[in-house]
Amino acid sequence: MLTVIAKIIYPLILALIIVINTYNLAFVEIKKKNYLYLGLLFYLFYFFVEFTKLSYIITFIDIPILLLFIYHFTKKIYYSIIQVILIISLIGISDSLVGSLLYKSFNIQYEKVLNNTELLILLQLAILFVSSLLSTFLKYVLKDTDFSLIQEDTNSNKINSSTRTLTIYIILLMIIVFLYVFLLTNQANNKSISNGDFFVFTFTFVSFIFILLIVLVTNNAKNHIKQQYYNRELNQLNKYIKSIEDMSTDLRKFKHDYSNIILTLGEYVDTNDIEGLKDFYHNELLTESKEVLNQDQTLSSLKYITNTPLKSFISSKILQATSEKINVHIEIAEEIPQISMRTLELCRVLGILFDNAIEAAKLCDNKILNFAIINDEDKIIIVIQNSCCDDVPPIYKLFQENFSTKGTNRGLGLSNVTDIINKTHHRVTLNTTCKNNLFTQEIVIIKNSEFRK
Amino acid sequence: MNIYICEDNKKQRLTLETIIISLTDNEDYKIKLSTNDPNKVVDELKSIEQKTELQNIYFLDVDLNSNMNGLTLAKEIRKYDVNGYIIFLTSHPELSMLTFQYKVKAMDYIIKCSNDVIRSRVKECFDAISKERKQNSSGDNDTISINFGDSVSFFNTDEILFFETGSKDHKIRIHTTSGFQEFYGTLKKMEEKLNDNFYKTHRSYIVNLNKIKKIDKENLIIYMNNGETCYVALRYLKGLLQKCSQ
Repeated sequence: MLTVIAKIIYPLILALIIVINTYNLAFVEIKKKNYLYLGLLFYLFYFFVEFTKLSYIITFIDIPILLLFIYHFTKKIYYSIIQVILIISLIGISDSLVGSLLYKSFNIQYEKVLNNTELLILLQLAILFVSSLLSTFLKYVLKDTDFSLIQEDTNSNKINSSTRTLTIYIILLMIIVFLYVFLLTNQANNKSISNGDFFVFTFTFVSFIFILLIVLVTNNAKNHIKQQYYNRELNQLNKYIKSIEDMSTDLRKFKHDYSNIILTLGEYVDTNDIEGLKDFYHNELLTESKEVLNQDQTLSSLKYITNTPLKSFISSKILQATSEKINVHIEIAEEIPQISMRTLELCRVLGILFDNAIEAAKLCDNKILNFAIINDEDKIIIVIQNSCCDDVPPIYKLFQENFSTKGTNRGLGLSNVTDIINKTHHRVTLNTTCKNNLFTQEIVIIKNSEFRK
Repeated sequence: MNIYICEDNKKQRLTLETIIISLTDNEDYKIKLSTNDPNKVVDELKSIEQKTELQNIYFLDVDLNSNMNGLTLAKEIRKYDVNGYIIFLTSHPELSMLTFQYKVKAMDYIIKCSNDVIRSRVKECFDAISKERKQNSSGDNDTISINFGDSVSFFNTDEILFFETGSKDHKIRIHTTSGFQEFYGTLKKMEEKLNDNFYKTHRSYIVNLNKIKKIDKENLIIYMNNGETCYVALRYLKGLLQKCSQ
């Protein structure tokens, strides 16, 4: 009676092992009911094998069935192969783990197990447990990993540089595991496992887990940094939007004032009151218009920068300067084409130059910051000028490492700038001059021949 | 020096002429042409026979109701007169100073808000011009021209301390009394342009001998007037000392 139940349950457990692991390691979502069909198929298959005692054909049929199943639903041969490799090697590892633990701790011989159905069931249950644990663990580790050979989506948060190494490692591991199982079965037929083999096996297993952990950690770190970068850019864009809205409000106010002025002028003209008109013009209009003219429409010319991260970065620096009560003057007279310097490095350089300019201008009575981007035929010139005090040290000193007018343990900014410019680019130069209390930094970027008109 | 005015608003043009005449009464400045048509300015420049050493003063409005605006007119002028003084007048503060300075080497950029302001700014320009003329006429002020890509810059040799080349990509850095500038070129080509005051002390340095403060023969270091240092190679040392003692 018991053996009949056992004969029914045993293939069920085997089928469960396959199906659960396949489900856990799926790269592409497959509907749950398809897994049910798969389970049924395997159950029938294993039952048949039980019946006919042709246990050696299991592996040979397992793999094609799995491959066909996965390929049918994902239509991707590459994914199917990787997934099948992962499944088989996982089951193999669990098998060996359970097996070696059993032999090690209970000293049970292999033949004994083969004939004892209850023990077999227990064994397979243990394998089911271990493999499900491992595959669930793997599922979470590989959740964000992109296994494609060609990186299609450059904006995706997935990494795929580890794909090839991971695949190779898994294949190697599978070979090791099978070899080992083979060794194990041979040895178990003659004697119990030696300590050395056990050690080799656990070492392989542990290193596998270790590699997976490294993958997990680097994945997380990369995602974290990307997230920070996106957040910062979003913040800058929000500030930019707010300042545009403020300007729009200012414009509305100005229109309102303007219509009032026209009305007033009209009255003076209609009543032929020239004296009153002269009075009004000199005393009120002129002073008011000077104020309006001096207010620079600072951020509107940024619309000519096509590179959005660059635009948001510059606008945040300008806003920072304005908040320090510095008079900022921006000039971008025409559309600036794509700059042939990597945005990240350009932003680093500009960041350092802006910070220096803002800090220097803060110390003056007359706080001025001029920023211009000039589009010449063969080059783009970015200019940052700031008012500076009389006691500016000679320029070559400013660029020395560890030199700083603001205290110790600082002073790497400008030397970093020269490093970046010299190291990575062949068409970028930096000119620095200081004349008449005006400190000027020019970055000249020569256009690549494709970008020239 | 000849003065050219180009301004499309008749009233403002006449005001400008009056201001200029009142400021330059005693000097040798003369208004050669005052027009609202930029093409006339270009034609006038074309017709001058001796084109070299042209140096005029130009007062240009940025917005001209014509096929050319102030900027394109200035670019045309620069083809004939590289050293002339171009001064822009405008009522638009946005298109401004720096862009014109870099594109056509504009001297100044005056915003038309009131006649008093215009007058004082024009006066500043004339003061600066006469100061520069005095400087240029006295002493041997050599200037050398250096190509920054398509555009040319002039440097007063008196301001240059030394030339340095560093990285492998033919970048030369000029160290001047007011800072430094970089451009692409070779020291060899520079040597051909420079006069006897400059000497190659090292395969990466050409030094202005007038600006050397002291030479450390043992450590092969040259100290310049402003404290900067550069190097002399052993094989150039003897020649350097010879030149300095002259």
